[in-house]
This record gives sequence, structure tokens and C-alpha cells, in this order.
Amino acid sequence: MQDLFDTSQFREDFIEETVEILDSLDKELIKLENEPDNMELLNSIFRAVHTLKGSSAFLNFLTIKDLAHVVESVFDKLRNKKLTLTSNIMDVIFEAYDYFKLMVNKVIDEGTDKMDISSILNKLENIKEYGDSKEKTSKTKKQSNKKAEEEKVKFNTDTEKSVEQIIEKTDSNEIDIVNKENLLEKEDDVSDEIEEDIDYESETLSKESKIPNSASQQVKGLHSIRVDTRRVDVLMNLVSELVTGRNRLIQVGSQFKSEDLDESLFFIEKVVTEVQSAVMKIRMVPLEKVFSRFPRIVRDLEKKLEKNIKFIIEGEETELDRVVSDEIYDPLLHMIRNAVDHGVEIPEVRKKNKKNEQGTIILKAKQEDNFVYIDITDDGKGIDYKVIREKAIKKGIITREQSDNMSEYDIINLIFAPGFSTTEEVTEVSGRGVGMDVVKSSIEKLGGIVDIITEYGKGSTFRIRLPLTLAIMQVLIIGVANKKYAIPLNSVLETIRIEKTEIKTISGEEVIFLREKTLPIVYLSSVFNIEEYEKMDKKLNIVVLGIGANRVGLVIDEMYGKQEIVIKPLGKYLGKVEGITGTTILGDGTIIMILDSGLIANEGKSFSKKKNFIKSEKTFHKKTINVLYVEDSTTMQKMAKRALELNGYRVDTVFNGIEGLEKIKEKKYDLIISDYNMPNMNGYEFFKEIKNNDEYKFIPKILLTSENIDIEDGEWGELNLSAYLKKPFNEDKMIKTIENIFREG
Amino acid sequence: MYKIISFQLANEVYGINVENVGEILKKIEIAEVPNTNPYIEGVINLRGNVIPVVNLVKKFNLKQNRDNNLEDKIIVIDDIEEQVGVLVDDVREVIKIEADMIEEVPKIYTELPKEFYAGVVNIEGRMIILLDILKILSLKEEEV
Repeated sequence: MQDLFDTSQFREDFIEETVEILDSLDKELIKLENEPDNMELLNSIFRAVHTLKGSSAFLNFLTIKDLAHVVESVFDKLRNKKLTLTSNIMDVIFEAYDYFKLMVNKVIDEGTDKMDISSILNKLENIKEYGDSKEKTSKTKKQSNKKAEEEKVKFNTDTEKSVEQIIEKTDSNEIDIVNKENLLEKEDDVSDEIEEDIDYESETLSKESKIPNSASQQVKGLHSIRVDTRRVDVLMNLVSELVTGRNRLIQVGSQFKSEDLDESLFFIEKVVTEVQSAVMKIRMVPLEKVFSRFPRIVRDLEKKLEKNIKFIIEGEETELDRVVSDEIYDPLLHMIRNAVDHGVEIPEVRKKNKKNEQGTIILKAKQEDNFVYIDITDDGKGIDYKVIREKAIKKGIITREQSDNMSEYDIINLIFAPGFSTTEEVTEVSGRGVGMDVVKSSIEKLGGIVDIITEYGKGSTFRIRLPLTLAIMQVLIIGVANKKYAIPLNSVLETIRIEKTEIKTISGEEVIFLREKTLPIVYLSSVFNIEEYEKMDKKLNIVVLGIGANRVGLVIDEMYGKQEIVIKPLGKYLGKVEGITGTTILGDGTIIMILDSGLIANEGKSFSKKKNFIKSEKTFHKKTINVLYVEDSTTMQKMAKRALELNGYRVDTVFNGIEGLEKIKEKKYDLIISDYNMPNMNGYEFFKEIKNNDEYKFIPKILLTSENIDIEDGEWGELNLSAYLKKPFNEDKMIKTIENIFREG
Repeated sequence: MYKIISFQLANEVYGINVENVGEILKKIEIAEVPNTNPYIEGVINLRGNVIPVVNLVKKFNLKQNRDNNLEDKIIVIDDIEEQVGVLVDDVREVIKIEADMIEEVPKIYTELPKEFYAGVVNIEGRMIILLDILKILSLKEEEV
């Protein structure tokens, strides 16, 4: 019989449906834990498991069917009040749930659900027959068997991964188009199906009609038109073409002064805009899909960390472009783990601080204009800027002098600086070797920004702002050195025109004063290998860019105004190009680059710099230069080594002057770069030794210091330094300084 | 039987399989992409698609002493995940060849890694070097 069917097609449907059922089950089980007497919920779960039983039996996945059958009967007893839900029972149910996930994963990977489920079956049968034999009076989760708990957590981390795989496999290529009209009708379908099952017939039906809310929510997930995303992408591309064509029409049309033409252009424009937004809506998926994965993770974590946390999700119906939605899971996961791990205190501490013993974490999404905001708020201990400051200084991210000039806000934002959260403090929970800098950069890659609002002792909010879609963008078109570029408008704060003389140089960095605040000035040539002309004009056009806390002024030649453009990716062949997020085709058919405003904004903040683009032909040809880099901060060592090596230098690093003197005996160096402040032997003493040694005294020396010094005079003059670099400096400056030394030499 | 398209790069004539060729364009405006390898000429607008253009003379490090009568062309290579254009110094002709005409590449051709060559054919006394263009474009990371 079965051979008559195309079973593979059925199998795909089964997998899709099952993943959806498990997704919503996950949420409902968490909810059930807090509301064990909620009849609607019990019924809804019962029905879901029942569906699972039916479909798995149909496709001969008998292990899933067997487990579903027992779970179903447990829930049948629960909803008929023949059994009381306890925390122990809940744990077993969760374990069964994990088995479902494992088996579905196995179906996807191996096409079979065969696995040993005897232990869970026994546990469930026990519960079915005798209830919770270990039942204790208290229902708090905290008191349940700890060892079992730990095992479970371990187990969960495995299944978490497998569920991700499932979701990737089944969901990533599909979008649901919910047909609201169909909802009611489909509800009937569900009822029909249940009717066939004699065991539970009457009751299920009567409940069905009483619970429109949860039922329709479930049905919504199950019944929708499925469209391969590739088809939607094709449609989106065609719409992009249409938008480009429209732009071109408007450009051409403006040359003719014809009312008729203008009118039809206006009409076309209107329709194209509507088509565009309609297609874009197809690409939108509710955040629910992403959000629904978190309650379970929070639940497992809080148990493991012995915390008591209420996790609230709001606005999960908010819709977002599928691409953005897919990419946002990891950063959110990291921040939520942080909130559980570092944010919310353990109950004893909270009690001592006169806070509610149960902490709260709120994950909230909302749409405003063309952005979606996601807030992760905890009422935990907040962030102490003093701790951040000390740590940042210790890690060499900033100097103490620098920190004196920084606002609390700026200091707190240092947690996003590369190298701030390193492996040292990675806990099992928040760890995984990912720092907040990665979170930040992945959000920025999506065209978003992340911000922190925190009050020490009261809690923190991480606020993410994301664009609704990645396909179409508002940009400012500018010109530098006779070429046009596009800057995403969401990063443009304002455009100003200043006198050239307003640019001041402060410790080697060009800045202007804008409303009494310093604004670092950057040129496009510092990001790209382009020649900029000497600006003849006495006035300069500047675009003020703001990404998170970073503000910089980008010097430009021309301003062509803003435009809505269609983003065309650079494609796989070119891969990721530093400084460019994509391209767009203008109305006249020319292609222009969309600038990575995040990278440019970082240009102005030298400590967070990471540039590794290819220096093409313009780098002058040099023989291999061996550099000894003496510095006690590992982070600085790594950064400098990387920057130097990218520019063709060979680099050895040591931690202080004494080691430096040892190293120099082993190998001939062409250049020594040394920090001033180091343990054992500082930079001054080290260079003095070098200078007094006949063999080494001609090696060029660069000192790194946070002071302004005069290398020609006084005690510094005695060292015969080639140059000094004032900390903090950026890689470019270091490279330029070195190039100058060898060019002169 | 194969059909090859022959084209000129610096002083040599090369050929690639017609099956890999989507179309041949006159050199159109190429938008430069900063921070890319020098052999990436930039990107072109091919009917609304943005596709990269590779300069084979630069990629192969050939000496460029070109005849000014040549007309730059872009050959759009189709048979890969996405289209890629290659910039050549003039396209010559489409030639039919038989499989048994393809000889091994003489040892004197050492400018390129071995796997880039598909062989040579001798057409009326003129050597045409056959390239495995798909391989060349898939090994983009490697410096030649």
C-alpha cells in the first residue's frame, strides 16, 4: 500500500509539522510549569501529542508513536484530574520532550526514529500508574533532585544543538504565509481528525470550542501556504529591478516637462512602492520562531545556576525580515545567557538587597517606524562602570589617563570592545569563547545597533535596533574623489559644513568641536586605498556618523541627497570586503558601493580598531624587516603583531625589557618597539641598555607611551629614539610611523 | 567534439570551453571595489545583476605589452554558482576541435599552476592554450 504514496514527500511534511508541534509544545510546557492547573493548556498539549501520535503512526515511525502514546495518556490523566502535576512529573515530561526532539532529528538525518526509549517509557508508565512516587510537598523547582538535574542539563545541551539543526533543515527554506481566512475552517479539520479517535472523542470536541485562543494560535502555525524562500527571493529580485527601473524613469522623466508623463510616473511609483512592500511582507516572519526557543534555555540555566527567574516574553508577534530573524538568534542567546548568568543575582543575595527573591528577565520586541527594537531587560545587579574601567585598563584597552576623560556611558560601552571579554572569564554558561564584541559585530552586520542602559544595583537593558528588512535601504549618496558612495541613512546623524581651520589636532588625531564635544574626523582614504584630493575649498562637508556610542565626522566632497535603494550583495566570489556592506545600482545604471558605517565610525575610536584588508599595490616593496615588540599586555601584543604581519613585517614579542635583552642576543632585529610601562624593566631602562651597547645602538627604536614626550630633548633625548607613539594609537599610525623610519633610512 | 572560444591575453592565445561561457560583452563601465585583490577589476551591472570581473592578465601575472588595436572584452562565465566576468584582451573566434587534438601542456608553460591548464591545441600552426576556467575561478583565494 505504502508504495503507492510518495512517502518522502509525506516525510518532509511530517518533519515540518512535528518541528512546529515541538516548538509550540516547548512554550506550552514551560507555561504549564507555572500554571499546572490550566485546563486549556493541558488540553492543548494533549491535542498536540495526539496529533504527533497520529502522524508518526501513519508514517510508521513507531518509536515516536509509542512515546507519544504514553505521554498522551499521562496528559489525559492530568486533564481529567486523575493525576497531579508535580515538579518531578514535569521533569520526566521534559525528558520525554527531549526524546521527541532527538528522534525527529534522527528521522531527518537517518530516516529512522529507532532508538532505545525504554527508560523514559518506564518512567512515564510509572507516573501513569502510580503518580509521582517521590512526590514531595513543595512544588518549587529548586528542591528537586540535584543530580538528576545536572544530568538533564548536560543532555539538554545536546538536544539544543539538534533542535537547531532541525530548525535549520526544515525551516530555513520556507516561509509561512498565514491565510487568516482559513483559520476557522482549519480548526474544523482538527476537530474532524479528533472525532475519528473514539477514545477521546466527546471531551476533546467540547473543549475545542471553548478555547478559541490557544487553538487558533496552534492552528495558525500548522496551516499556511508554504513557499520555498528561493521563489520569494526571485520575486524580491524582480521587484528590485522594478525599483531600479522606477528610479531611472523618474530621472529620465524629470528632463521632460510633461504633466501627463509626471502623472503616469507618479502612478507607477505608487504601485511599485506598494508591490515592494507587499513582497517584503512575504519575507517577514514573526519573532516568535526565535523567541520561543529561549524559555527552555532560561529554565535549564536557572536551575543549573540555582537562580529563581521569571522569564517574560513580549511582542513575539513582531515581524522581521527572515534573514535578520535567522541571524539574530545567536546574539540574543548570548545576551540572555549573560542576563541569567551575570545579571540576575542568586535568591539569597537578592533577599539581602531587599529585592524580590525571584528575578525577572524580559525579552521584548516592538516595531517603530522602519525599525524593530528588541530589549533584554533584567532586574539584576546592573553593571558597575568602575569594575569595567579597571578591567579595561588591566587588559590594555584604555589607559588610566584616557579613562579620566570618559563618561560612565563610554566606559560601560567598553564591554563591546574587542578583547574585553576574553576566555579568562568564560564560564560554562555565557562562555563559548564569544565575547560581546562578536555580539556587537553580528548585530552591526545586520545593519543594527546595540545599546546598554544600566543602573548599578537595579538592572540592565540591552537594546537592539534592527532594520525591518535588509533588501531595501535609505541611504545618503555622497561623493569622495569623484566617486559616489552610499551611506546607510540610519547611521547618519547630521551633515555639517565647517571651515577647514576648525580642524584641530589633538594627540595626533584630527578632531573638530561640535557643540562643545570633540568629534574625530576621518577620511575615506583611511578605510579604502584611494587617493583623496587636497581639498581646495576652504569649507568642508562633513557627514556625522553615529553607531552606538561612536561618533565620527566623515569628510566628503559632494552631497547628492538621500535615496531609497535596493541592496545588491557583492556575491560569493568576492566574499566579505572590508568597509563595504553591499552595492546598489543607481537609476543611470552605475554601480556604487554601500559603505560600512560601523567600520568608519570605529576608525575614530582607535582602541577598537581592527583592520585587515589587503594593502594592494601601493604598499612599497620592502625587504623583510624583523621587529621585536616588547609589551606586557597580551592583547596589545596580539593586535600589533597581527597588524605588523599583515603589512609584511616579521614580529617576535616579549613581555618586558629583561626578556627583550635576552631575545636580541638570539636574533638580529631591524626595529625594536617597546612599551614604556612594564614590570621588571621598563621601556626607558630597556632602551638605555640598547643604546649603550655598541652592537645594538643603531637599531631604530620606537617607544610606546601615554605621555607626550619630546624625543629630542632631556632624558628622552638621550635614548636616541626614532619615534614615539602616544597611546592609544591605531594600527595605521603605527605602520605609517614605521614606514617613515625605513623610508628615511 | 568541443567548441572553444579563443581569446588573447598579453602575447598568448588561450581558449576555454564554450559551454562555460554565458555571453561576451564589450568592455562596459566597471565599478571599482576597494579593498579587494588587485586582479579584481571591479563589478559590472549585467542587466540588474552585480557581477565581479577578474582581470586574467593581472591574475596570471602576465607581462602586459599589448597591442593597442585589441579590444577589451568581458567573457561572462556561467557555469558556476554565480556569474563571474573575466576581462581579456580581445576575443578571437569560436573553433571546433576534436578531443584527440588536445595535447598535454608542454613543460615550458609554467606561468600558471598545472591544474589551471586543460591542454593545448595546434590550430594552423598556432598554439592555443586551453584553460580550465572553472578551476581558475574556484581557486580565487590563491595568489598566482
